[in-house]
Amino acid sequence: MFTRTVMGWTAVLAVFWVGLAGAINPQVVVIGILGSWLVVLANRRSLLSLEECPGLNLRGMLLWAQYGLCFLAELVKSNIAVARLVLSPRMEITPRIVRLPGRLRTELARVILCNSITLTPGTLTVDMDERAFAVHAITEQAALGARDWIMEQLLLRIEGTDVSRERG
Amino acid sequence: MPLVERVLVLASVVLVGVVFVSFYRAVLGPTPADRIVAINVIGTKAVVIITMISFAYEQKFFIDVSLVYALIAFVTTVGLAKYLEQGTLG
Amino acid sequence: MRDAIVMLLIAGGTFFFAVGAIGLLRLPDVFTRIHATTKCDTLGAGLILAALMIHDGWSVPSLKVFMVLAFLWATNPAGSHLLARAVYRSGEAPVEVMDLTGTKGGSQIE
Repeated sequence: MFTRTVMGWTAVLAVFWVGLAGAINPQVVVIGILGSWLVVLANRRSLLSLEECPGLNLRGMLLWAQYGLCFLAELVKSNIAVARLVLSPRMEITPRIVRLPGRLRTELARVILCNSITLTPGTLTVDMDERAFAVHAITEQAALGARDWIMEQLLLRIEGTDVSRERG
Repeated sequence: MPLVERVLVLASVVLVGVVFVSFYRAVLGPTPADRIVAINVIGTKAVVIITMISFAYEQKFFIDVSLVYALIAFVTTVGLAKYLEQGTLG
Repeated sequence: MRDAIVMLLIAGGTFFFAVGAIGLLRLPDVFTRIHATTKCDTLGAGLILAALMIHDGWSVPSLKVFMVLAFLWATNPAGSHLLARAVYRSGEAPVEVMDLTGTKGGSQIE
C-alpha cells in the first residue's frame, strides 16, 4: 500500500494534477495527492517499477538522449517517405509481413522498440511477444532494413546486453 | 486580429476540410477496421483543432477540453480494437 | 522571427495532416492505411502543438499543450498497433509472410 512504486506513481500523478489545475493552494494539493493515491491503488497490478527500467545511470541517460534524437530524425524521414509515396501518381508498394527475432530482455524496451518501429519509415508492428516481432512492411527494402536496426542496437546497449555475443 | 491568430483560424478551416475527406473512409470504408482508423484520425485532428481555436480566440481553458478528448479518443480506439479482435468486450 | 517559425510549423503540420488523409483515401488495404495515418498524424500534431508552445512561451497553457502532445505521442502508435494486431489476428486482410527469425519455436506469433 505504501511501497516505493505506489508512492512514486502517486507523486507523478499528483504533479500532473497540479499542472492541470494551474494553481498551487492547499485544497488542490490535498485533493490531488488523495485522488492520485486512490487511482494508483486501483491500478496497482499494472504499475511499472524502477527495477524494470533499464539504463537508469549516467551512461544510460546519454544513450536514451541519443535514442530520442535518432527517433525524431527517423520520424521526419518516415513522414517525408509517406508524403512521397502518397503523392506519387503510381504508388509502388509490395506490402508483406516480416517476422523478426526479438533480442531485448526487458518488457519496457520491447514496448518502446515496438512503438518506434511503428513510427519509422515503411514499417508497422502488428504483433509481438517475448521472442519475436511481426512487422508489416510496405516495401521489400523496408522489410530487410528492419532486421538489423540501429535503434534496436541502441536499446540493446541501454540494457547492457553484449551484442556480439548474442549474435554469435 | 494579429497575423498568427489569423493563420491559426485558416489552418483550423483547412483541417476541418481534411476531416471531411476522412469521413469518406469512416462512412464507406469497406471493412470495420477502415472505419475505426478513420475515426481515430478524426479524433486526433479534433484535438488539434480545439487547441488551435483556443489559442486563436484566447479561450485557454479549451485546452482542458482537448486533453479530455484525447483521453476519450484513445479509450474508444482501444475498446473498438478489442471488440474487433475478440468479438466481445468482456 | 518567432512568428515566422510558428507559421512555418503550422503550415508543415497542416500539410502532413492532409497527406495522411490523402493516404487514407488512396492506399489499397487496412495495414497500409494505418501506416500513412499513424506517421502523419503523430508528426502533424507534434508540429502544430510545438508551434503553439513556441507562440505562448513559458506559461501554464504551454504546459498543458505539452501534456496533450506527450499523451498523443504515447497513445497514437499504441492505438494503431492494437488496431493492426486485431486485424492481423482476425485474419481478415491476408498478406504474404516472410520469416527472418532464423530460430524455431518459442514464439506464439504464427
